[in-house]
Amino acid sequence: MSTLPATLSYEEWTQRLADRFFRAEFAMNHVMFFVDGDCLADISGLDETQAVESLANAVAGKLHRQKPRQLLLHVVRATDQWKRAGAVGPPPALPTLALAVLAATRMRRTTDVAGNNYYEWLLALLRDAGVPADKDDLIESYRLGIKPLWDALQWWLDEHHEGQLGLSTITGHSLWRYVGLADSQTLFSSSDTDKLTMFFAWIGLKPGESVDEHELVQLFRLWAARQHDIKLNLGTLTQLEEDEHPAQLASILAASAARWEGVVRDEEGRKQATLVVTLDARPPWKLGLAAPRVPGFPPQLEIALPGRKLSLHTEDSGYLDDEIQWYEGLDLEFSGRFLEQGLQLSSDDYVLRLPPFHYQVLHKSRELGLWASEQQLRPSEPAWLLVRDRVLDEVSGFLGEYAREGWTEVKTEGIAPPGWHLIRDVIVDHPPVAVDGVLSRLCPRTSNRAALSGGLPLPAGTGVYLERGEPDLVLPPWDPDAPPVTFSVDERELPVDRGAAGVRLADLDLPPGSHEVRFQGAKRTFSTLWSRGSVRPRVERPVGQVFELINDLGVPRTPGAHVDAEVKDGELLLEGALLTGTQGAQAPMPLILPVVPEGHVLLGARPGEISSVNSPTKPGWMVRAGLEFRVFEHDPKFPVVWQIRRSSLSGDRAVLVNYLDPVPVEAPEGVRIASWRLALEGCTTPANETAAELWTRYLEIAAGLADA
Amino acid sequence: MSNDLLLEWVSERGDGSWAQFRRAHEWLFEGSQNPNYVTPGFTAGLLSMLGHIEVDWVAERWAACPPVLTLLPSAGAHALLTGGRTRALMADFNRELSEDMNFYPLEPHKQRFAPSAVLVPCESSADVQALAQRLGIAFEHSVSSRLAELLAPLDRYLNLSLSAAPARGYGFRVFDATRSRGETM
Repeated sequence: MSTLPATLSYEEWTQRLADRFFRAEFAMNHVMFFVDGDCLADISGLDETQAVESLANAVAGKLHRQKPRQLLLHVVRATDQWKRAGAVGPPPALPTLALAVLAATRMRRTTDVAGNNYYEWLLALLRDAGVPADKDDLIESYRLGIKPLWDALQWWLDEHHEGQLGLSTITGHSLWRYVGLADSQTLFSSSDTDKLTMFFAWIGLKPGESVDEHELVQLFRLWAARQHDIKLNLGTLTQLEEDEHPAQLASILAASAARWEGVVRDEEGRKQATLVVTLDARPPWKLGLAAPRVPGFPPQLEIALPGRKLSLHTEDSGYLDDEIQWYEGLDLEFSGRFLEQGLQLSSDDYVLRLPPFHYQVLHKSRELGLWASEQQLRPSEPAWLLVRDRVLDEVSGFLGEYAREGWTEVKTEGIAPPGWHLIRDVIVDHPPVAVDGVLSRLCPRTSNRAALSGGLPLPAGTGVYLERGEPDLVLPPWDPDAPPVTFSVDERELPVDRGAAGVRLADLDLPPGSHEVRFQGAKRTFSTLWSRGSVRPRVERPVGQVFELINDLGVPRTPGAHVDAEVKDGELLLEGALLTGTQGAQAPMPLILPVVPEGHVLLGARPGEISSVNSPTKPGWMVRAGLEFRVFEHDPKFPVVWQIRRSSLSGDRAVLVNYLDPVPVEAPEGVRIASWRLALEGCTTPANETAAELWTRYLEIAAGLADA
Repeated sequence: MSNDLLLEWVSERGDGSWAQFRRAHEWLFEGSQNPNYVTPGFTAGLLSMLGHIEVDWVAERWAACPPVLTLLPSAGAHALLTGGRTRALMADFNRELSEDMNFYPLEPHKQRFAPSAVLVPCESSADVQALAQRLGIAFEHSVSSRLAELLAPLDRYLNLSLSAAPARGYGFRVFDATRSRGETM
């Protein structure tokens, strides 16, 4: 046994480890039992070397040395008894598990992370504590005893305390069944776990949303590389640098994602929301701040400031489901200091934070009615930028190269704080891929994940689009120095244009049906329909103009078309070119007459019903449209029986239009009567038998007029 | 063409919110060479004028209109297919035209800011009416005439709309749009 006395007993280590890692403030959060030398020193108050030796000695004192291949037997029995006695206090296995994790931590710091190497590290710790263990005996002891101890910890956290001291992250690696349990705790320190909430917010994860593990790992890798102000611990960084898919990281991320409720936490475990900078661009222009009420935040919030309190509150009604609620009562005089240094407003459990950026990106906020800052520039949407002096040239250079023409700096004094510049009308359509660092937030993006966006969606289920209206595949930010990347559509690999932020799937001539798109671990599916199969549009909520009939005249019920308009008896509904209803005048059907130079004569059934119709000239719009003009419409003033086509070459010919019996008149007089008679008598008899028979009777009437 | 695809979409979709129309318009015309004034509102107004959709601007909802074959006045007896144009309808329509000897199919007439105009030359209103019946859509030979007869004459509206002379002696202000405020004259 080592000559150094254990400065903390096994029981003291048990309590201190529990107090450090498993607390009420971590309720329903995943907690990592991450133990390294720093952590042990912090817990014990000793220096790192002493702390490690103290823990190792404490654990050594509990090992069953009489049975070298069952070294953990005492600890296993003690844990079992503790559980059967009601699990009062923390699990007695904690220091033993801490030592196991410490060995994994030290292993992770080397380049050799093979399972067998783990036991070398554990053996080293025990031998330093005077335990002359043989490696094979240690392996056997470990395999027999370690899993029940991890199971007990998991049970204690997840079931006995129902997550109120934190949720376990204990996962077994499929390759390292026993070592993996300790290894799983080396990925994050407790502070890193909070950073996971920031990661989930960054990828826009919705509570309850299921994300593929491969995609989660890729996104986490991407996010971690971009978070310059967040330091992940060595274990996590090591996992990310592995070439193969880090299974431990994947399962932890997936488990955490499945339990995420949309609440972002800061490094102290407080719920966090981001303040936004606002700009009222109406004179007198004014910068300000706004505080959103995000998931997990209460309707009322008290913030302590020097000398006073801010009482923030929101209305609980009047918001649509996808609208952001904003607190009222944020009565703070805006200062340039907020932009430079950031701002933090906090209460015990909540914090509102404005991060200090070199520039703020402001887009129109529908709910606020102002320009409001956002994390990222949105593609093809106008934005204003509030830019710090020191990066103005860099930002201007970027805009000069990638933004649409028309952006300009606002020169009016008194709007931007000293040392800052306001730039308006910034629109960037296509982001350059190879931009990182300070300017990365100017690369327009709507999501940090591969997503389907746009297209022509149909109300026929989820993810259904009109064929040729397939959505775009929006790509997440990716490493411009990476080897050429591809994406696949229905297992067909296609290259991704280096300069592209997305892929227009509608350009790929995909057939109607189900489709699967994959990009770097992310899988997205959608379907297309050629048609919903109906000749008439399937309208759930028709829109039309209703006319009330008053004295047979139509009076619009509302000024303009109205959705869900109900049509009562006696009313008319106009939808486009269709007028429907129980009443309504019907205009007489026009005659369609051929265009001929000499024109036509139309005769009715009654003597005197005659009109001459000349062919009109071709309308100008038909000339421009290149349409032929062979026939024209004519609205007759009387029911037409005969259409006489005049021709000096072949003589006038009559065509029967409507079979109507001639109507004799009692006192036939006048020019029109004579013209009617002469038109009949001047025509040849129609060839058609039915027409000829009727023609004969009209001639008889005409002859009678001549005699009168 | 994007306007034709937009009409197909509004017809197949049936109805929706203004936000949905705007998003579809922005997606369809992203990167196009259209002038700045070709906004979603501009296109929706055109589609409404052409009888393809109706828009309730207050409720921010739109709906495709029922398809109608209508004879245009002074159009050389050309019937126009207006209202919603689903792909199923257009397939039936093209098939009918190719099989019916009474009709001479025309290529749709392309338009710069609007969907292609689908015109059918005919020699008889009865033929067009029968075609509409076979397709299961409405026939209207002169909706403008019907509306003209239905609505009150203009002078009757004017009689209802007489306004009083403005009060004098108070001066007036002119709104300066560039500075967003009124200037007393």
